[in-house]
Amino acid sequence: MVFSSAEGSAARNFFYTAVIWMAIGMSFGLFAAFLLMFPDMVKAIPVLEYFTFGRVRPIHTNLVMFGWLSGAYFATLFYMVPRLAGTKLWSERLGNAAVVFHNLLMTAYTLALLFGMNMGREYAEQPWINKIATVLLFVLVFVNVLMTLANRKEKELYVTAWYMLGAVVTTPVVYIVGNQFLFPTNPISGVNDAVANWFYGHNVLGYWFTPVGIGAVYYLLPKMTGNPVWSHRLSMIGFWVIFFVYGPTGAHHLVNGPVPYWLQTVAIAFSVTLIVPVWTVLTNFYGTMNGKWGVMKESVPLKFTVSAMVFYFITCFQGPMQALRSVSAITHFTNWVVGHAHLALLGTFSFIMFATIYYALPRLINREIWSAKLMEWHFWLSLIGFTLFFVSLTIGGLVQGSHWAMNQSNAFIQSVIAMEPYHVVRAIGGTMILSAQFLFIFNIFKTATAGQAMATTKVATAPAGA
Amino acid sequence: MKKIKLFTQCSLITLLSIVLTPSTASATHMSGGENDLMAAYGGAALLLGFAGLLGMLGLVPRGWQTFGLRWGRWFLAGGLLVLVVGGYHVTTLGTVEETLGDEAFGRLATQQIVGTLAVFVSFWGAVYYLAKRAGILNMGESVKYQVMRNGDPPDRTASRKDRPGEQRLMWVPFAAMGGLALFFTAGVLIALYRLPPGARP
Repeated sequence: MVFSSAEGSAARNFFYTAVIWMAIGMSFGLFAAFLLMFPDMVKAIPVLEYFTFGRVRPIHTNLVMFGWLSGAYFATLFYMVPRLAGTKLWSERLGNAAVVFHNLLMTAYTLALLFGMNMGREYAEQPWINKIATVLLFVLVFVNVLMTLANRKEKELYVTAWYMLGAVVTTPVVYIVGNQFLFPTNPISGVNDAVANWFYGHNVLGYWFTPVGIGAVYYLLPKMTGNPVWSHRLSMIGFWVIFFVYGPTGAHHLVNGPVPYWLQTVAIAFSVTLIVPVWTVLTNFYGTMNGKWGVMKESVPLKFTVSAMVFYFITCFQGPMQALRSVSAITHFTNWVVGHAHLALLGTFSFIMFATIYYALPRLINREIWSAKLMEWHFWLSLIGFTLFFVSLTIGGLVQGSHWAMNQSNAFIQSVIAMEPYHVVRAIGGTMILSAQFLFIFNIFKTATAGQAMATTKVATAPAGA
Repeated sequence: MKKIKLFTQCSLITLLSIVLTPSTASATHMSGGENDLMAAYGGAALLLGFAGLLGMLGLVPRGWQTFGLRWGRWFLAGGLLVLVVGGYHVTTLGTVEETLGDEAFGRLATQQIVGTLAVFVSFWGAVYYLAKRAGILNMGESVKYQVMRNGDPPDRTASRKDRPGEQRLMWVPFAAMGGLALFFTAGVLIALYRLPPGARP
């Protein structure tokens, strides 16, 4: 057979390729940040006409969301679900086929956008055929996950499995509905299209990136601290609440816009309610960490997890706040929102994936991480770079919004000029983040090729499914 | 069972009293014109409701458990009440002065609120019923101990004992969260109040 059936190979290969797409996606992001500082950079250089801001920016968002984070999430599902189910992955071959398909699809994503094939819908820019291929990719991965759970030896499901199962069931629905039911010509148009677009745009975060990320934290924390999760029942409350309240929140992206007023109000109310699941996660986080805070000094994956929890809280504090009409009137369309999106996808979920990779990869390939020092550098550069990045975007967004609120037509060009220092700080932060990721990839490469065999742990364990 | 009946009766009486005594407020359109005051009501309702839920489930610090078990349901009911009364208050605030032909608005708004609640309660009722039947609610906490043993062994950091004073590290993420939350709130308030009154949203 073409594809390997070795245990753990699909998860490992997804991790390897995901970090490559992360580097490519983030490089496009940094390039876009430089374009904001030097808008004429690509002018008069023929080959660079493909790299205008309008093309580079969606490549960045598509690759970090679907190439990097989704790739790492597929790996996480393949790693954690079998362990929670007390069985092996249903089909490693199918998993490896999904890895190859994912990489081909991400190449198609990049080329389509480089050549200007853009459907003009946020996070749904891909042409029709790529969207169908994306659904096919989801099917390849999710069937494997569902079959693994169906064949489980564990009767009871741990909260991580609940979150992951929830994501696997809801994500295809969100993707298909939000992408106009995959029709080649958009059957929904105008304002209704905006509503459908944001149903998808926001819920892909709520039903895909959030549950798998939070599920991973619930898996990692007990393994790294040695404390069982503080309250499983509380975690289940969080699970049910998040899946109930996330659905109608998408329209908060359209507050003060020409969509029905009641829809905006429902979106605002449900956005505020999101504080509840965050509360459950943070209560469990603090409860589980109790008496084990010292571990943070020695464990880079735990440092990433703790930072991710801080950013998760802030994302979910900032989100409901900016959904309010008066706040949205100032922050909408500004860099504040860009900062918020990065807070969720980079500060929270990418940080969780860094922790997951540092934890899971050594176990998959039976090698220790090559350099502990590089891990530390990766963490601190990412943390400092990201803090600079989102603080500059947040303050810049408020300055931008204030200019617009005072007098849109007169103050617009002033707002562009006022953004210059913030764009510089953003690019510096972005450079630090990208540098950190190159160190990370180098460390992963050296781990795979020259890492020492993993030392056996002294902690007593029982076989899977015991 | 007796207490559940009492609780249900109280909730029903509260709801009915709201339906039967609608405000005289009216509006020129059904969009209402809600303001951000709803966020304050929603926030208070959330706090009360969630605190009540934690109390009922015994998920509060040990010293508070008796108090939580005793008063949890009342906190939960209080949260629901704040949500209903607050929603009603905000709806009436957002409407313009009474206009001929629009007298039915108060009743319509009430019905909307009650309708929303009915959907909410029936959804959660169904979820609760199915979850109870499936035995999910009886899972208890055993599964979390099983996870510690299954799959891969805990990390070697798991057996590390905290040294004196290390527990204080818990304040680092706490301070970061608080600091950032203050930063965002202050930023928004400064942006809003620096604007001339005419430009303020």
